[in-house]
Amino acid sequence: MSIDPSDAQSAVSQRPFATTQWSVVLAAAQHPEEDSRRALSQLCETYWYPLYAYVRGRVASVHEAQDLTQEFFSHLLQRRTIEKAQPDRGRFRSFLLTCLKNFLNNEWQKARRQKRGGSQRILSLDFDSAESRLRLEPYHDATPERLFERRWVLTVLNQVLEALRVQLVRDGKAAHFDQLKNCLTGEATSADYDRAAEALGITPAAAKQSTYRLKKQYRQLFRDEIARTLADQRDVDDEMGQMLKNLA
Amino acid sequence: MTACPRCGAELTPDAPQGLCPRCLVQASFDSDSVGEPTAIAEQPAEQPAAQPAAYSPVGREIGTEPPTPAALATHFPHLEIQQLLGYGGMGAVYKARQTKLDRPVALKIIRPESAEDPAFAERFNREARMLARLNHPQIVAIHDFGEVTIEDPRGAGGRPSKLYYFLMEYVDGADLRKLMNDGHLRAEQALAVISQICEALQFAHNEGIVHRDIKPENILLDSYGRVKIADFGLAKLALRSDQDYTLTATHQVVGTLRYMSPEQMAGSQAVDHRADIYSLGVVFYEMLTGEVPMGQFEPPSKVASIDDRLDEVVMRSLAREPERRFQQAGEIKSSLDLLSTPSHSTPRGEPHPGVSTVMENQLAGVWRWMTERPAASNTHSSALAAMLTLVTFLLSLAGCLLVLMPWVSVTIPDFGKSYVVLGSERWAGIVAAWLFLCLSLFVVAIPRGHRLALKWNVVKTGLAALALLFAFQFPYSVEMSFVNLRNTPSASAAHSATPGNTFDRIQRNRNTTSAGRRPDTYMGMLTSIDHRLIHTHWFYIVLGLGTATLVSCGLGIRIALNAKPDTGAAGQPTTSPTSNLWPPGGRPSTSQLKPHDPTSGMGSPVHGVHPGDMKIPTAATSKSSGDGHYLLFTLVFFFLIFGFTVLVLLVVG
Repeated sequence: MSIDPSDAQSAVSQRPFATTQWSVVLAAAQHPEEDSRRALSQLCETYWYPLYAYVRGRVASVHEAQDLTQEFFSHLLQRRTIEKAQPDRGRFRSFLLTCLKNFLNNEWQKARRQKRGGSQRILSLDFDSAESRLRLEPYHDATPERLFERRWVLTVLNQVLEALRVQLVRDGKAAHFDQLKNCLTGEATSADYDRAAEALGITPAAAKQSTYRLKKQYRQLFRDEIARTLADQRDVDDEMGQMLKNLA
Repeated sequence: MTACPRCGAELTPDAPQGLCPRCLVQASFDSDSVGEPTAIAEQPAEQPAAQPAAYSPVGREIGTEPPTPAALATHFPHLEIQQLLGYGGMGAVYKARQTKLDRPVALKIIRPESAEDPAFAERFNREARMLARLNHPQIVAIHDFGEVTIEDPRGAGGRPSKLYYFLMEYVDGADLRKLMNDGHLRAEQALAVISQICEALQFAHNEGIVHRDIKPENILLDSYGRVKIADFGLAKLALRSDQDYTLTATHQVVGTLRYMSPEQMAGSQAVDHRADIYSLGVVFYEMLTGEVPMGQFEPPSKVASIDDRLDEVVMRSLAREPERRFQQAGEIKSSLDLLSTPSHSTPRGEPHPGVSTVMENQLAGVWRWMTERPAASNTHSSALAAMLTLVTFLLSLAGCLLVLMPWVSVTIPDFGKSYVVLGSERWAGIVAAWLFLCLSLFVVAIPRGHRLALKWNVVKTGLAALALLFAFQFPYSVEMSFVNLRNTPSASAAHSATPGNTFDRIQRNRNTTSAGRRPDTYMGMLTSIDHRLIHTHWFYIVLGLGTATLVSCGLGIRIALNAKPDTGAAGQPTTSPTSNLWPPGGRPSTSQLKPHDPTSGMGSPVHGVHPGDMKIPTAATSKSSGDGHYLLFTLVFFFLIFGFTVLVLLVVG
């Protein structure tokens, strides 16, 4: 990381037109290729929980909900639903929800009629952990859509924190993550730093330093994760604002 | 269900990693602040620009990163660009040196994406010229602005784009956020900071410039403890288009939701300088309590141990409707000044200090003067104050004793001659004594540290007026019994003598006396008089005079004290009253906030100065002792008057 001018130049030019996963998918909607298919699967694998929770809210039995979820994803991945005109294609989140609703209203009936029993498993979804996670949730009386949005945010956060943790483990700083993650959410007191410093065997000043860097990493990861699901880079801030509202 | 200590939201079991989701999302907004030399200085090799590439979990790119100092250097030949200080939604800031002038400056470049709007250039120029007019010691000065053309940062073959920049004063210090985080900010320091910000804001508002983005990250303090506000008006520059002015259309706007006034949040076009006042209120609240006011929040005095007089200032700034807030930043400053320095006389309906507190402090002063003579009597002012207190005390005593003055006279006709008999009426006397008592109690017993708000004084005045009115309006119809003091009181001289009989009895008694006692004025020997003949106007006049004397003495002292300058050097006990900003029941202190004190500076600015080294203007406190003493003294004084009056009445009666 030296300040070599040529390095700097290439560092700056390393950023061509910014692509996100979702934009890749959208761009390739007409002719799905391997890349876009994989991108879509990856997106779905990350964000299936809010969908599943939504379905569980709409459908009576657990078994049916699981079948339905799997059906939906295979429907999404195989049937080129993306190329059809959808109102809000800019964000994966809203697109997914709209698709799911359409599917529940229309397609599910057709799918049920067409094949009974044994749906194709395109994605491996861990329904058991989803169930236990659902049980953890407090009782809400909000609309299913609001719950969906809220769960989406939580999924993002979990994803980001996990990525951060992985990053730190890779750097050999696993303990840092555990001690300093409480300081992520803003103004930590000197007492917090002292405690963390003691646990880690470093000075409080170094703890503050680490927290500062941790926060920066976290912010970057967060933005990256948001951007994955957007068609346009510039909507990142907007999406973040939405997320904050959805948590209210 | 526990709650997040920061934002108060519910912490549900499904919270990620046990952290509050709201705070996590909020944390992702915060942009790096300007001027954090300690953070960056210890990591010289750290290149924030290079970090993100390593951390993308799925391996795709994101946006643009700020250019390295070396990359910029070619575009600014007259500057030596030293390091990147921070970057955020708006752009990036670098520390640089103007080679010719050999002074440190800050170079702020604006993100190219923010500047994509074709009308941006025109807005930029307009805004920059306006900002250049802001020449104020507490506003970060703009030295220069302009644009440079750089190659397309997004890759080869693109068209070159313009990079807009500001050249600003470099502030060697830290921002308020850092100071708050490090916990180095005390309440009186907060007042001093806010006071300075108000000055700067008032100046800018007078120039017609609204900051729109007041937040702790934008408030810098240099090593002398001077406040400098940065990024004035730059929030407007980040607009992509004026029509698109919604909450989410700007990078900057989203990041500072907490400090944004309700009208800004709503995206209203009618945002004026009062939005800054709201943001200032939020900052003030956060400085005092450590929390950001969210939803239904408590006044600051309920969250932290601070004076509840500050509540009014803070809560008013945080009013939802702009009309209900302070209309000028200068008003906030004057309110704060009033709370802290007693040297303000009180014009135009500003809160009058209560007479009671004055009295208490005067009594305390007297006590101190009497008990700590060598130390306390050094200064003229404390002796003067002590004298005035004694005078007040004596006059009050006299006022209470006025009930004993003969205020009733009756002319008794006696064989063509008339005798003037003077006396006092027992019950009226007791009632009057009680009235004085209550008034004294009222004046003396209101505890110190109580908020000296206007309404309190209005209430007190109203009650005093009511008491007087009561005395005037309530008719005394007293049962009278005429007692002949010469002879033993006969049974006939018992109660409810009819008016007609009174004089008969007198005459009769007189007739029966022997030894030719000459008719004379009997002072204090008659205890009851025919009520028809009570000269009630004398009674009322006496009462009124007594009250007026009492009150005007107290006020006179107050005004006298206001007029003279403070003697508040540290270590010298003074008798200046009412600057009790910190927990009631604590010692009285003289808070003198001197915002500009460059003589107490730290010498040459050092890279990486710690907030603890900074000379934030603090209050000079005076020692005082004898809290308990003065209270005792007050009670003694109170009971003395009371007892004395009753005693005399009983003796005479």
